[in-house]
Amino acid sequence: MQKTTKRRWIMFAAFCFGALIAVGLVIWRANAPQGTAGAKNYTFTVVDSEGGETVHKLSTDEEFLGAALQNEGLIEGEEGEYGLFVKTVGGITANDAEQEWWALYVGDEMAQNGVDATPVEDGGEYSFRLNTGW
Amino acid sequence: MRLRAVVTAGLFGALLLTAQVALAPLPNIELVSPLVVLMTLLLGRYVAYTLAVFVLLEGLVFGFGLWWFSYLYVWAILAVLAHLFRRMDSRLGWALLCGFFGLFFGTLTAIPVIFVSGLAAGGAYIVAGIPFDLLHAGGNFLLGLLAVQPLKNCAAMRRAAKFLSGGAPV
Repeated sequence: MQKTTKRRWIMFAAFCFGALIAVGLVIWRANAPQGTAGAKNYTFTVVDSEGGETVHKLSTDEEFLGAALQNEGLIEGEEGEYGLFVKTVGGITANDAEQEWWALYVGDEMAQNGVDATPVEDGGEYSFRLNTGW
Repeated sequence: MRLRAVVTAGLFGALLLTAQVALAPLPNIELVSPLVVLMTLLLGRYVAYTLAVFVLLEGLVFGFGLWWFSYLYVWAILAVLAHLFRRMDSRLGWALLCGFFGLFFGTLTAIPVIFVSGLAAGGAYIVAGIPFDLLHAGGNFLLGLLAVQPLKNCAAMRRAAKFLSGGAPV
């Protein structure tokens, strides 16, 4: 392949790379979780490793679940690159040695975002379930 | 040739894990991609041993979660691409190869999620990961630009390739 042709292919690839990054930014902005202002009532359930449930009926003005639960003193964790990494929920700390970890659920489905990026909705049902095994 | 390459490939696997752990605190900025490209250029098909050691060590250190199954093919895809483009002599070209890999990393790792949780969950996984993929693409592009072509051309790399192909010890 001639040098000019190779250079054209590389420039075309560079253009595609830039275009895909721009498309990614647009999709991300369009799908970014949106919180809603105002008072909201919601249910938060802590499920321990044996399936025992502790149900909390709560209300908040916060837009996202992470801030709401931290204000209630129900979750603790470490701030990391992906937001808050929850280690303790309702006073129960996940034991790394036992490969325990907290999974966030919105209704019956595992959350697609971290607790920081999960919007609180009025009437919403959220739970943290302690799982074992990575 | 074979013994030298296999032993070196195994050691490179451990080196990849070290590089991955060393940069783990930085969000999606990683040296593994440019290193896999360079190791592929150096080892050819023997890089399969490197990737096998690396993926196994990753599982042993971080646990064999769902993400681990994607490691069985994502790095192999990068190695195959690097091998296909092995005669490319362009700094920008290598940077783009690393950048594209970073950009599609989240999509590639979503495949096990799609199998386990369905297409909708896989789509949500991909969209939620876009900011990290963009960061990954940028980091890979920059590191690919700085590292791959200059190292590919350096004398030590040529001597190492000669050694691995059965030439005199370096």
